[in-house]
Amino acid sequence: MSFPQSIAATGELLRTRALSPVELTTRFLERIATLNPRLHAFITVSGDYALAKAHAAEREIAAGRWRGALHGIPFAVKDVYETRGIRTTAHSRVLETWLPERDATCITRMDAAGAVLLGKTALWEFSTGAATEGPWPAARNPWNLDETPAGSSSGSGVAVAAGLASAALGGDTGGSIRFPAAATGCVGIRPTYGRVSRHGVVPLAWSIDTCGPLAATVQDAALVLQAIAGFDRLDPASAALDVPDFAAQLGAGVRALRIGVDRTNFFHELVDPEIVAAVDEALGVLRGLGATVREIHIPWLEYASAVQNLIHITESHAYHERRLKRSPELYGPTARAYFRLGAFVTGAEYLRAQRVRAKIRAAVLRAFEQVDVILAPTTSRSGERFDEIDTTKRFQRLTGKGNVGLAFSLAGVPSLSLPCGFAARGLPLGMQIAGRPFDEATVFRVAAAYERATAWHEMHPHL
Amino acid sequence: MRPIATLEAFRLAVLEAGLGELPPDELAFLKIYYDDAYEIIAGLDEALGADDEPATIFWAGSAT
Repeated sequence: MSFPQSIAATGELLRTRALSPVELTTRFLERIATLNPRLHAFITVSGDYALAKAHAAEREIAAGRWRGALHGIPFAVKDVYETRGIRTTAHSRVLETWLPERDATCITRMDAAGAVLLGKTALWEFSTGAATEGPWPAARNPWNLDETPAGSSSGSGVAVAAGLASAALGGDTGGSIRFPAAATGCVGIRPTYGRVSRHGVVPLAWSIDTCGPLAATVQDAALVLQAIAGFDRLDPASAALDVPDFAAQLGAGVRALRIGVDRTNFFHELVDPEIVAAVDEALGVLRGLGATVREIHIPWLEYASAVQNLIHITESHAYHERRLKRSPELYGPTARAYFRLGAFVTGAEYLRAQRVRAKIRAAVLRAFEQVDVILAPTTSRSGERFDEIDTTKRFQRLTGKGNVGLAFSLAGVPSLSLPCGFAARGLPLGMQIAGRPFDEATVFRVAAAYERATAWHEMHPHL
Repeated sequence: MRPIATLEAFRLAVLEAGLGELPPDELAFLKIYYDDAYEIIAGLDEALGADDEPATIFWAGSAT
């Protein structure tokens, strides 16, 4: 068996008992043991737990009680999801020894689907600190170990791209699922705000945070999102809406669909020309498949960075304030500075940011009256070497016009990143497809059409 | 937030915010972030101008 292999393909082998969940899990654990010392994708590997779950899956499938596409499929989670009895650290000394007494709702749902939890993946400290300041090594990009895999769900992207897990769960506030998906060459979707429960997930900014999957293919991402989506009374932002079959329209193609392109906001001078070229080429592919491409302009987006970061620092300060004042030495320098910043923001300033955010959301929704999806680069640059990291500049980079992930975060709409080429330095490039609120199905449909027409998803790092 | 010119003035602002006495290197590091944050959010007031639409908070249920 080669790695990575799609959930769809592996699941069929499991269902027909051509492959045993125990055998599959064992292979993944062996691969993790071999590669994780170089890649540092995992902070914690829950081997015994995984094998126990795999044995249970094997018994159930043998007894004819196949639960569905994820039954027996090994997956990983960003180490912000609470896992009962399994260390949950947020990659921080603050939570270094925390053993939660409950599972996050997403973990419960993956368990109900029969998926097998392999372990907890590395991230930027509390989803925002520097990659290199946590108590465990930073995850490395499998395409080039000197490069970062972006973040903050860095280990989740690495685990999928390197074939250490069939899929992974991440968290996305300002791009933290989409960025590592792009950097490592896999698929990641930030769902609509409210689509997936955040109950039991260590927050960054409550009014923006989302949980979603990273996977090797569009179909796999749809299958995992299917398992975790849906109303949860334990998350006050959870939407009480039915969840459609995300995979149902994957083969429907893009004929007559309208794709919006905002060149001012997403293809500007700060975006690396080779990324612009790759996304333009992707637009050509979609046009060739029958889609219509329309130029659009979304007003207010010049304020997206200011709004995102004002909300981000204020809400994260609210969450960390007590611990930060009691034990600041437990935080890395970058996370500590971020979380302290919120202490200076006034209530009026926070509300000002939320007011502008409402205008951004309204503008994005107006754009969706003209088009079915919006296509843009996922990131403005490809890769970052570890020796290039300058933590004094991080805030500037996150706040500048260069962050092209923020518009859809603030609007609360779904946005999926998938591979669309390679940079000259050999790193994957990603583009994002955003859709209307709760219309992940159309986003998946467009992504699947592009994926079928190209071969980027078939390219994997040599390890 | 307000513009703060000197490190000493920033030290006092940090104390006022309840963050305690920070080591000099941390104080200087935090001020870099503070100055960046001040700069990027200063424009929001101007952006809203005389806007008097009802304030909206994006929160529970507002996605639907």
